[in-house]
Amino acid sequence: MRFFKLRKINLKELITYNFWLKIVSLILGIIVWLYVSNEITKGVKI
Amino acid sequence: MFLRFLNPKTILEIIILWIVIYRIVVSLQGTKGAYLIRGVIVLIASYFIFQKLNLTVLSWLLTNFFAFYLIIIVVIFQPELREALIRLGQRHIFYKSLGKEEIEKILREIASAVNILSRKKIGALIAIKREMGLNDYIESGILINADLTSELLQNIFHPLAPLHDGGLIIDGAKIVAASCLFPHSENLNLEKTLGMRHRSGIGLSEHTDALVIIVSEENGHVSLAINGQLTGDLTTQDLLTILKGQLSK
Repeated sequence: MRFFKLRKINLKELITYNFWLKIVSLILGIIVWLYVSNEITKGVKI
Repeated sequence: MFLRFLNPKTILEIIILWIVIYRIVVSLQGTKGAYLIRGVIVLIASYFIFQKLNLTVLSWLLTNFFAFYLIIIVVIFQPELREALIRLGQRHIFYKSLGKEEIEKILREIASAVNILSRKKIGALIAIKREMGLNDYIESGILINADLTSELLQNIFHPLAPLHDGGLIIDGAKIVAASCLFPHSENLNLEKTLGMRHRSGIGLSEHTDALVIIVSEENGHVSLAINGQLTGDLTTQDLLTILKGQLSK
């Protein structure tokens, strides 16, 4: 995957290749983290 | 609220989640699994909107149906999910599972077959799988799962062979399937003279990141489709150079 392309680092391509997929994945990642973190915190409070 | 939690541990967790989600999304791109991602995004977005608007009944329904929905998608998209999980541990199919010499050997076999097919003016449509799953197309053909050799490639595309119609899919050192149906290109600007084989080759390269080699049965010309772009009239040496360059990325 170009995301991990370390052989020849092309910074522009690293960012622009599948740009929107990377953004959507990041947003999903943050949402999942927030949700799980919130659930864990709730559990601790109880 | 989010900034309160921002520390190196949180950033690391989010980066790992990001990479995992991104790899799954890329693996599912071009397959039926892409709808799965869209469905999940719509559900998550709806959940947050309902929460924000304080629509408790809809929120309750969505929360309770979400678990049910997850079970359904795991069952329906089991092959795609399995492939996505396998892919998680792979950086690049050709560098992870095969050595450099093996890659060169495979490319030589492909180039040798293409050269002979071209000289004999035998049509061929060969897709080399890269990152994205091609399961939908593999399922449309006949499974082979055989070691890749020039002779086998020539045999499959022989006009009297039952599997010569349709596309052939190569995954690593294996010929996975033949007689596969590839999607036709939706590009209206393509030359009108291009036949169905070329349109299918370009179509697959538009929908996936596969490298698609097309041998014309009219004139024996060899073309290569990458990301919807067709490079025509290639010599064997040109083909080898481009394939090596593409697969080394």
